[in-house]
Amino acid sequence: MPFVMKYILFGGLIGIILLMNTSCKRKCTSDLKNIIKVQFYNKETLRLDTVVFERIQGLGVDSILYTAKDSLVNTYQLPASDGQDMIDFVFTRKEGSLLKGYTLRLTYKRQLTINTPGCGAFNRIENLQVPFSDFDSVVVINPFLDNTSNANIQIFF
Amino acid sequence: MPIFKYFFKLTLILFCVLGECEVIFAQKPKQDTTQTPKEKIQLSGIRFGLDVVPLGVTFLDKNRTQWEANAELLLGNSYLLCLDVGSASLQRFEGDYSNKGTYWRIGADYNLWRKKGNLQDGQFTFGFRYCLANFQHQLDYVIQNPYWGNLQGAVLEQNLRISWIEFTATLKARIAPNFWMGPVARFDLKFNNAQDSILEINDIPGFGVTNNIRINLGYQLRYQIQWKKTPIKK
Repeated sequence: MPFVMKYILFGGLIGIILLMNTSCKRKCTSDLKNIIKVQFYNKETLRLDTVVFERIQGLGVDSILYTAKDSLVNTYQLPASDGQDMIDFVFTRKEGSLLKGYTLRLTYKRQLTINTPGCGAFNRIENLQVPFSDFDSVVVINPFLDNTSNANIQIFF
Repeated sequence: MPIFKYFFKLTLILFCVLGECEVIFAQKPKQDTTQTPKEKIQLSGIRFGLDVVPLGVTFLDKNRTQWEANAELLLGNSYLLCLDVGSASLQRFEGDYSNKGTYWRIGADYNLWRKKGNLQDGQFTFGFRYCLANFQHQLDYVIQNPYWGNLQGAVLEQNLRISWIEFTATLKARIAPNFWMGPVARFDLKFNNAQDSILEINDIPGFGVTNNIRINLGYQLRYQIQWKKTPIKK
């Protein structure tokens, strides 16, 4: 057997055995939350704006996501549901002495996946759409929830 | 990285032991005086064998079971018709996810190492395979969602079928009469999942984790039944 052949045969075998032994362990490094980021813009200046809401909550859920105290932000982070393809959020705003509710209806496609190393099951959410809204102008700028983008939806208010 | 240092040292030791510390770079290249005759493509032998890497995975990883058997028809000095059949199963997340199925590959190899030995001692082949896996996957899941509520469920999808193509490079040497061994590198290309599955396909038997491109390594053992010795023109 030629010398180079011996080297490749035995070196290759040892290399493959070592690679099998040191195969990477799967660790969960991702923050697995499906968050829909909503930004408000001033419809006249088209600049990022802060709109204060008395409360923001998902329709059918008792828990309130934001109150007036913690809504001094221009990006709201709204959790997507893992069990439904359509969810409504109600943004309640004080207008004069009245409280007015603005509904934002969202639909999306869920894909069950275990692709994220070591993290277990997870719903990948894509094709985010706004089929109904009480806001005048709503634009979906990123229909894929990947937690890396600054915003998924822009609302001009 | 430490693993590569370790591997480098080990192969260096082997390099010295196997080659009796020859310095191959100092050797003058010998002129090859043999010529390959114009050959007929005819059945000259058959090889059966297995890949030891799937068996190694089975031995080292308690969550995975794999085997792969191979057959090759030798056509003259240059061509080999190849058939691989295998099975793979795995579990993850303490058994919440499981995947099992079978696969086969069919294709041909072309031998480039003909001048020395004419398939008698060594082979260096490039080849192409069409591959098909038939499998099922299952997942029991709980997805934590503190706002809308947790989601619990189970998915079992059977008769999933995915094909891909593969380019191979194989080095084989005869280590004893009729016994061959050597590494194989597989470059796998999958063009689409072609499935509208509820659970995204994560592992494919014979392919691995579902990136669209993968490089897999194997190490093959073969037993050869020779029908006809191919002539070597002196």
